[in-house]
Amino acid sequence: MILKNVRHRLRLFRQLWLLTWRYDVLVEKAVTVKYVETISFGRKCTLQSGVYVYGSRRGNPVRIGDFVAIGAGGMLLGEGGISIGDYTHFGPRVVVTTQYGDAESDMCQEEAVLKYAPVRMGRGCWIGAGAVIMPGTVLGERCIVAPNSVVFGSWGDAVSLAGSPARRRG
Amino acid sequence: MEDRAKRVMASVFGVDVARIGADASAQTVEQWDSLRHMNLVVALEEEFRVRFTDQQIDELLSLRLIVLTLKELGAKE
Repeated sequence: MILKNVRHRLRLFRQLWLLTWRYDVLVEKAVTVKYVETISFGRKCTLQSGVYVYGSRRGNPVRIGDFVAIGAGGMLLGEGGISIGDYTHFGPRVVVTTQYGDAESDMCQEEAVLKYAPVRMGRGCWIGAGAVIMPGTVLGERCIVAPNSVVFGSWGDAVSLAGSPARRRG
Repeated sequence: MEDRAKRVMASVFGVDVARIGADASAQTVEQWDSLRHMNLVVALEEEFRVRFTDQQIDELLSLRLIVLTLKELGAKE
């Protein structure tokens, strides 16, 4: 059991090392990155402390643009593919998920049966602390999401969203 | 109104609008799962400029109920 965990830690360290070797990313403390081969970053991105970025075992790209900042404790679950435009900033604890459970499946299995849908976010979006961006969400450019909102669906440019489900505020 | 609702449903579920019949419901549309249900709710609210209550969101499980609820909310045809 100990050996299994030591190997896992080594694999995680290698993934993080590859990420910082390949890309211009400032990585703070306790950042976890998995499936780094499907993840790409633009210039001068920041992953604050405790960020968790999960690429895709299925080969869907997780593309993060230039000058993107992911706030502390943020989580990107990229199995279905994620695209984040340049200059987009996340507050702390933002979750972007591209997967959700298949409630029609037998839920008592070792591997949960999941469904996937990609998330796309345009340039210059600001995502407030604690917001959850659900699978299949599309945000245009310069969108604002209020803290703790839960965002579904497709939205155009310069939309301000708040609530659960998040609705247009302006 | 029904045709507009059908178009929204077809877009959200990723199917041809011809496949959304008058009796379309969560039981008959395979793609209608919990996530797409919420996508449908926000898409309908945007299209018809209405706001559903939490109870209405739970009950919008067929085209007939959607049209009925939209009429109750005073949505324009």
